[in-house]
Amino acid sequence: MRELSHEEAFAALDAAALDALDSAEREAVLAHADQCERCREELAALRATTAQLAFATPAVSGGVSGSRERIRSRLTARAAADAKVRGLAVDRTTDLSTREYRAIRTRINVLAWRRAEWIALAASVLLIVGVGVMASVLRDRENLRDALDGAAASTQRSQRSTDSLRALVMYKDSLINGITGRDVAMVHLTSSAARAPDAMMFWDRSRNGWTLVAHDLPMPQPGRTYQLWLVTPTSKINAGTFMPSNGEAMVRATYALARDSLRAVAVTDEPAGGMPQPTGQMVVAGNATK
Amino acid sequence: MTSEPAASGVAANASAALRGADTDAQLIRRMQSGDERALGAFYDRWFPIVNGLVARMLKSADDVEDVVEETFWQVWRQVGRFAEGRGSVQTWILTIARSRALDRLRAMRRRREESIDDDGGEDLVSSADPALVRTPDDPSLAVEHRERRQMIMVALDELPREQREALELGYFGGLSQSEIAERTGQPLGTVKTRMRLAMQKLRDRLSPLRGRAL
Repeated sequence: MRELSHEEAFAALDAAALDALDSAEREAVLAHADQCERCREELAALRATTAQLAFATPAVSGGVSGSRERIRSRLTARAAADAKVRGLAVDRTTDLSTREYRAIRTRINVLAWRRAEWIALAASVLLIVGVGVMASVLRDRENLRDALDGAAASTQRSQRSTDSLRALVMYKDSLINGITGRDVAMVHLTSSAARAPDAMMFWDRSRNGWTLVAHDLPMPQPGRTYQLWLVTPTSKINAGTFMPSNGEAMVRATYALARDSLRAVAVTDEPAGGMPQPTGQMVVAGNATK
Repeated sequence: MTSEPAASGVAANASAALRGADTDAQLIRRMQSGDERALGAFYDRWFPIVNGLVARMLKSADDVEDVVEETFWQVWRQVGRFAEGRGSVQTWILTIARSRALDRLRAMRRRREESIDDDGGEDLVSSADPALVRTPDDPSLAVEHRERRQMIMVALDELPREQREALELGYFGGLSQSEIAERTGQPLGTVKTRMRLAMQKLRDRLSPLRGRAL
């Protein structure tokens, strides 16, 4: 940009005020005016004169198709939003006289109360409807909870039944395995009595399981019980006490014993609770060495 | 210097007070504090003049509406920078309005290579659509505006035709001196001289109005 002398710039000020200079010359003139107080003041005066030319046009107050009101609405809305964004909110009360302010406040209060009444009425209706809905919801919830409890109880019962059945099946499986396994030894126990009780001991040597099945056993005397013994060359091992039911009995026990150490199996009549060593009459016995 | 003569400013304020309306200065201060209603009042005062100027420079009603809105929006956005002592409100807003209209006019010309010949060389000042012409709503403003317009029209009528033409083509037509020279077939130096002489005479004739607020 070529720097202008004061005379050159001053001569171009009128055209600058009219904005009738080409852009390069305009920039040069304005740059000079920025630095030159006399040119700056002259330019301001010339601009004030050119601004008067606007009044040479007839005032056009109506605009086209209501544009005046349209523009006004847009402007004030934009300005209000802009003032809010820039934190320039205006306290409206400062523009009003005290009487006007009180009248408006009174009106606002009345409207506020009316509004409050309507809000209260609406709130009451909503409350009633809400209570009804809530009661219905609570009833439904209780019903659902009962149904859930019932279902849970049923599930528990089913689970218990399932467990029992599973235990029974396992017991039967175990029993079957205990008497039919490949490594099961059998000892037949007999008696010399008239109506001879009879029993069979199954020894599952691989699992150390013992199963005694007895028939035709009379009930022991009161205070007495039957006790099962495993007889080895060196000891008589307590395998537990039992009572028959309708002459029948099944006793199961687990005990590890060397394969060749069993000599005999016996059932004796003993005091209730059993004894450390056999003391009573032998009821049935069988030789394991056969 | 363009600051308002004290007597004129007082008279204007007194006039506004008698009308029960804020003066431009009061409205400016209210706008500076963020009162959008002051912008509304300012718009009501200045819309007829601004709209008349912009409508004179632009043809499309849509463009006029846009530029008028841009003008007042710029007023709102830049009102914080306005300093009363450095110039009058009317110079400020009319300069903004004309600058925005010029921007639009020149952009349109660049886009469409539109020729100012469309104006047919008619009198730029008196060719406004009569259907749109109305006086300002406020009767006192209307009177002041009419008087002011009358003075300006007299001043323009006193100018030699070629000087007036150069002035009007520059102000309302938005043409640069080079463009005026091209359009009128006159040497650039001649155009510059005519424009300078026109401005000097106009300045003398209109000096009583300078800084006098509506």
